[in-house]
Amino acid sequence: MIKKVLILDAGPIINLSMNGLLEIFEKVYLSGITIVITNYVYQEVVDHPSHIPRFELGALRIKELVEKGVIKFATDIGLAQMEIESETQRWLKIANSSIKSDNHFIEIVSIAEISCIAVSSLLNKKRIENIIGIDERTTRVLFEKPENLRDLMASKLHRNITLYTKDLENTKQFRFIRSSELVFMAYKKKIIEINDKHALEALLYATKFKGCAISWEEIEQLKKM
Amino acid sequence: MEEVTHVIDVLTRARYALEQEDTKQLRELSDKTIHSASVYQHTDYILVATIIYTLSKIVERKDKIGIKNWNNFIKGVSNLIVLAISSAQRNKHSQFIIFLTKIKHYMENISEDMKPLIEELLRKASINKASKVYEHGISLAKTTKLLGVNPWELSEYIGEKENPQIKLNKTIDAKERMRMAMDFFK
Repeated sequence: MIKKVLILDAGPIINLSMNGLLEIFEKVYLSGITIVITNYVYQEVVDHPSHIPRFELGALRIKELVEKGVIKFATDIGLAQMEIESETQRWLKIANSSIKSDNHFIEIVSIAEISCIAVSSLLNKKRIENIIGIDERTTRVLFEKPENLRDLMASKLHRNITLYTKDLENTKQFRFIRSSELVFMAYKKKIIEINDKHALEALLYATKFKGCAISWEEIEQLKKM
Repeated sequence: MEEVTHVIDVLTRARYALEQEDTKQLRELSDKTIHSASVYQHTDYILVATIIYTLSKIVERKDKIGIKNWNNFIKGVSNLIVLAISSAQRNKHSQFIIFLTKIKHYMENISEDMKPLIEELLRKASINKASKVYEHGISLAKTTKLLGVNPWELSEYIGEKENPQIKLNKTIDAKERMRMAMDFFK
């Protein structure tokens, strides 16, 4: 019986792997939470880096977590590949038709990130509690506060950006966390046992330096919690 | 059409900056192409940005790299830029791509000894350009696909860069998100 599902995009897996913290996933799994990825995410965290000497070890360790069943494919928990594909394409179209510049929709997200949204959407329909782990900023901002993405792109591109949110209305159903929240939780639950008063800040800094979109200000807030 | 004119302008100015060995101007021109690369995501804009950035690095490290016949090298690149510009002006798109690729190969093959170094500069240029595209609001996975770079490497690179637009990344309060996470893992 699946109770809670942590859906992982490539970012947190890469982040925790590079920081030597993959054990967090094992402990989360042992606590009864199901961790899933999609085929697209697997390609990014295992298939592609397997051919790059610098990242090969990380890829192998992630592959082992999948083989051990710590990280499962979304299809292993009763979702059909076809429904994942169809839901992914639906959300991909919505996301990539939401930002327009010079009469041209900008393709802002890729299939890997959106496949996590699709899995979450399917689980929500089945009333299975879930949360998406994603480190990169664009997908998260698009679904949580799209006007911020519009403002960011307008300021960077020096062009008028129009936001189309009609189909983005039902996005409050998605919940997002980052590597920083994962390590915070692991620290508070004593999954990571580093007995030093600076351990928490060190963990948060480590996630930031491996690509987690968290600001220094947010880190300061979390340190005080 | 406006975008083609922009690329022609960038390449024309890059050629002049190269001949003047103006690395700052080369870097700025490379960044200018990123706007178009982010919106239209054409591989040629991305290639232009990567090539110009790599040229800026070659000029910057001219003494360290030690290219023999430096003047011939600059002349060779400059001539290929002229041919690329001419193709773009005549709307010969496939020819334009061929000349851009030739510039890349010309740099790589300047000498057998230097090939790994130039290849490394080109790789780093791709990562740098990818980080700029990401800064412009394109997602990480989408950016890696566009630039042909590895998400592991890009994650590390962007993690070490300070993002001036970080305030717009904030969507919900950090404490609220943490409470949500702690509640989920309860």
